[in-house]
Amino acid sequence: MKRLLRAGWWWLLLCRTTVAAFFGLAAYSKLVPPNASQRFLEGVKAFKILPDHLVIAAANTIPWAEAICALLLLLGAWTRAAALVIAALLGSFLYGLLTVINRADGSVSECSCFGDFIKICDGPPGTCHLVLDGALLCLALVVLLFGPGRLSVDHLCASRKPPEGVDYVREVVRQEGRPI
Amino acid sequence: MRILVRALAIIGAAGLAGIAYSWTRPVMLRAPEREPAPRGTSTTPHDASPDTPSDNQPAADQTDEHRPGDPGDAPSPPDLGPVVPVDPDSLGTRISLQEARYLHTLIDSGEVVFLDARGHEGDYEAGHIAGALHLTIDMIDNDQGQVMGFSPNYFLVSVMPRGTRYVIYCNGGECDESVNLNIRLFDRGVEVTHIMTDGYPHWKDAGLPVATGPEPGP
Repeated sequence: MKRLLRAGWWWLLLCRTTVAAFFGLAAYSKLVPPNASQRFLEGVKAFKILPDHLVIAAANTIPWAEAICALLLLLGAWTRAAALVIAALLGSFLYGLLTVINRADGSVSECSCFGDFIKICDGPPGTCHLVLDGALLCLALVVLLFGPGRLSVDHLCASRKPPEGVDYVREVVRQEGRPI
Repeated sequence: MRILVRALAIIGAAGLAGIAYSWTRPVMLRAPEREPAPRGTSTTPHDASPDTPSDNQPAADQTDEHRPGDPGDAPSPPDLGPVVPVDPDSLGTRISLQEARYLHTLIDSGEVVFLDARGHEGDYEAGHIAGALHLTIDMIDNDQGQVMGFSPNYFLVSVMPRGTRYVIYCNGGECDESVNLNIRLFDRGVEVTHIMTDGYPHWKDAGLPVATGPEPGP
């Protein structure tokens, strides 16, 4: 597996940039257009899975977490941490979607998941949203498990950093798949 | 472990950015929508706007005193009495029918602009306060003709005269459309706004000036 990943490091780059593109656009559409923040807040509230004070906290925090993670994934800096946050976000999104789909009361007219720029899934939460979020979760998990790949700030820093201590050696061995 | 710490740092940074951003673009939870109270019940304009001075509109209260058993009876226009001048600067955000009535007399001078915030198609054309312009939340936020996520009306609001006093109305009651339009205008720097909580139906029933048809062109 390691050999496969070394040979096809662009795979990881593709996973990274795909997740970064989705979440970058999602963050943009939740932050920049007029009234986007308010609409996202109302979208979160419509899911009815959080108390009001957490709705406001989530509506203020999630878009920025998406933006920061998208930037980090794109650069390949703190990649695994960004992938972990993205995976946690997607996990919570999936939980919310499943809750709304099971409730089936028609209270959520649109998903508010990725804003107006990504129109892969329209309309109320459904199977399409679950598949999309599930696919992105898989990509995020791949990045979380296998790291950023060679074309990344993390890799650049790791290769320039002088070896110090057993932990660092272990980390390099884990990233490179071979002893230094 | 290091990954977890970094993930928490990312979430913390996002939280701080969110707090800072919410100062510039505050978001708020709206009150749940309530059905407008049926006409002819004990609901009065004061119920719709509890902060309205009670001594200002004794006759307006009588507007809703219709007997439920007389559905065919056209409500007779109530006698609001003479227009009582008020100091516009002393008015709060929510104003009564009487106060709005006085401000309406200032339309011709250009000091005051009435904005019809009702979003339902055809409402404005069917009847609106005389001289009122039609500006709804959808006109600002709609997706048509957007450039990089901004609608043309978004820029229109940005150039609305700031020295003018704006009176917003919809159908009364909770008047969600007026409140939301007020928030949007405030976000864009239009600060001197009032919401006529009694709404268009009360204005019309009071026999105050109304007009029909589309908004006149420039």
